[in-house]
Amino acid sequence: MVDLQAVRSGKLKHLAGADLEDEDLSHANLSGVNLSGANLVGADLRGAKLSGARLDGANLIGCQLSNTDLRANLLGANLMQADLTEADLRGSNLRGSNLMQASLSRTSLSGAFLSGANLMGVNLQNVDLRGADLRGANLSNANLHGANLTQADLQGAMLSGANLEEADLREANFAGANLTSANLLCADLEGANLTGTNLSDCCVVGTVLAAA
Amino acid sequence: MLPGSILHKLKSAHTDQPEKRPLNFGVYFKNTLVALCHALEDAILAEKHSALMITAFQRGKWYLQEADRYGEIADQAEQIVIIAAPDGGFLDHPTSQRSNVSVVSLNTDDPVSIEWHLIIVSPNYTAMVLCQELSEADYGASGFPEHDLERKFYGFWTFEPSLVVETAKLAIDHIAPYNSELHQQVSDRIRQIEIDLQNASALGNHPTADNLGDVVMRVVSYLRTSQEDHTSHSLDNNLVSNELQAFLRVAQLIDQADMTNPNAAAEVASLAETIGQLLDLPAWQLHRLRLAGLLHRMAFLQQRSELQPEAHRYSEDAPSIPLTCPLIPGTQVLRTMQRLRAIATIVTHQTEWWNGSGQPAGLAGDEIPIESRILGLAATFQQELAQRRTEDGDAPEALAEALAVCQNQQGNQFDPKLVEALALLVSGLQQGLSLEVVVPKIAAGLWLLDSRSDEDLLSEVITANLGR
Repeated sequence: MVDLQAVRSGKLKHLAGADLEDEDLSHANLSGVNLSGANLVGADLRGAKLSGARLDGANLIGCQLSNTDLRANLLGANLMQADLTEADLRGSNLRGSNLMQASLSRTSLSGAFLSGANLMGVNLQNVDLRGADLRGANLSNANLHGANLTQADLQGAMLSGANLEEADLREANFAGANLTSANLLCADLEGANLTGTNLSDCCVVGTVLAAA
Repeated sequence: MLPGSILHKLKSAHTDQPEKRPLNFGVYFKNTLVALCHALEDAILAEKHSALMITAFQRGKWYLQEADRYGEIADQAEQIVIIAAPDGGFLDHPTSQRSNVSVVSLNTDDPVSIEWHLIIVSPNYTAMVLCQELSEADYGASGFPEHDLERKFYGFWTFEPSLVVETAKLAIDHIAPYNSELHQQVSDRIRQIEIDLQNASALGNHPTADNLGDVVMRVVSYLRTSQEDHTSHSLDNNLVSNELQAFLRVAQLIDQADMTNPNAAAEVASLAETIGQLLDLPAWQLHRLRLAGLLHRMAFLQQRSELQPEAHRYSEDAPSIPLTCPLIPGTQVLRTMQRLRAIATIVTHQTEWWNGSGQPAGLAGDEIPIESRILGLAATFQQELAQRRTEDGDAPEALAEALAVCQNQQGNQFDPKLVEALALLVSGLQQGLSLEVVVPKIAAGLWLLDSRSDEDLLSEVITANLGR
């Protein structure tokens, strides 16, 4: 058994592989704690502080992470169906993580490392993704309406069927990305790199396409 | 985009033209356009502007729905030109018969018949909505919408006088083959208005809190009213996005009117956000800071009477009534949008001083919202820096001098720890760090609004002060 009081206060720093399924850790201070490979399925981490924590390979399926400071290492973490509403994920390492069916409304993802992440069909409407690393990420059928992706790196990303209506894509790098059937209605691609990009069946009405 | 359409002609005139900005388009639902157009048209009635108005209605039947309103507007406006593909009875409506109303029947294959335009030109008020409807193919997989209200258009709207006049000329040139006499007469009139707009007393180029401010308040309130009519999430977002656009467009106009510092909004937004990052503020607070930075100059919008001193003649005798809560006309305009309540408070108190001797409320120290303190410092620094700017950009000495101005006020006007953060940022800039100054994409500002942008920032302070 894990001493929950000690966990909540942040006294226990080494919790790698710990079983915290469905536990209430809301507003806990877990900054810098090692939770790599931990089982946090269904746990309540709303408003918790997890900056600098290790959550690589952790299982966070269905975890409640709204308003959580998650500027952490989430390499390969499973965040399927997690509630990340208004969570702070700026600069987080989310490489290879699974975010399918996660709630990402008003999540801050500027500068986040999302290369190879699975974001298929997720709702990222009006999300701040400035300068995010999305190389090779799977964003097919994702909703990125009005999202801010200025200077984001989307090389080789899968964006087929994605909704990029009114998205700010200035200076983003789409080299080798697949945008088949994507909706680019009124998106701004000024200065964006579209080398080797597949734009077939794209809606490009009102799109600013002044490439660099 | 259909070749030969007015939107297409304007876009072409702005593509690969270094002296002209590329146009930035947004998506609009039909109900958004109706609310927007009504608000912009009603400004003519409310402010009694003797304006020239050119409207393209697609089909005569859409004009007939508005024809009675247009009759009222014709009482006030100088002249109205209505362009539409003919429908039964649209020429016979009493409004169409009036002496200052001209109706142009488009050929059915005219590309302008899929466009929706409202162009208003006058020396004191310019505004336009310029849109084209999506074709069936443009809707893609989702297909043509079932409901009329969900029909989508793309284009933009603006108050910018030069752009509105440019478009008015394109629109009137388009009708030359239909009615050369009307074309000649209206072209001459537009040229005269263009000259009048350069007059120092013309308000078109000088946004004021009561003139343009009232227009914006009307836009926001009409959009909000049409939000109550339905429950669709995407329609709602479109309306809210346009409420925000109204303010961003005013901010853009304020910047354009200041030749000496035309990029203040974007630069202050970047500076403020970066200082916030150095202080490790949470993401939602940084978004607030960026938005407040983009809108900070609205606080300095003046009343028309302040620009026309003769209106002050009797004010000396008026009893002075101390206000319990000082009102800043420009930020009162911001408050019409509930979701910007926190932003309005931040912008209002950017001129407070750390030592309590500032305006408008004389708040001191930590009583002043942290965002207001950062914003005040960033705005002062940016202004000092812009004054010292040369063609080669910002020299290290200029950065040092602008910082010195702020350091001089450390502990008096400015929060000492914020000045230290600014000093850190400046030393980075002197060593080659470059600040990303991104001009906002006006049609896509919703990423900056979150659940805390409508917080009441000062309730505790005000309650505490009342208890004293």
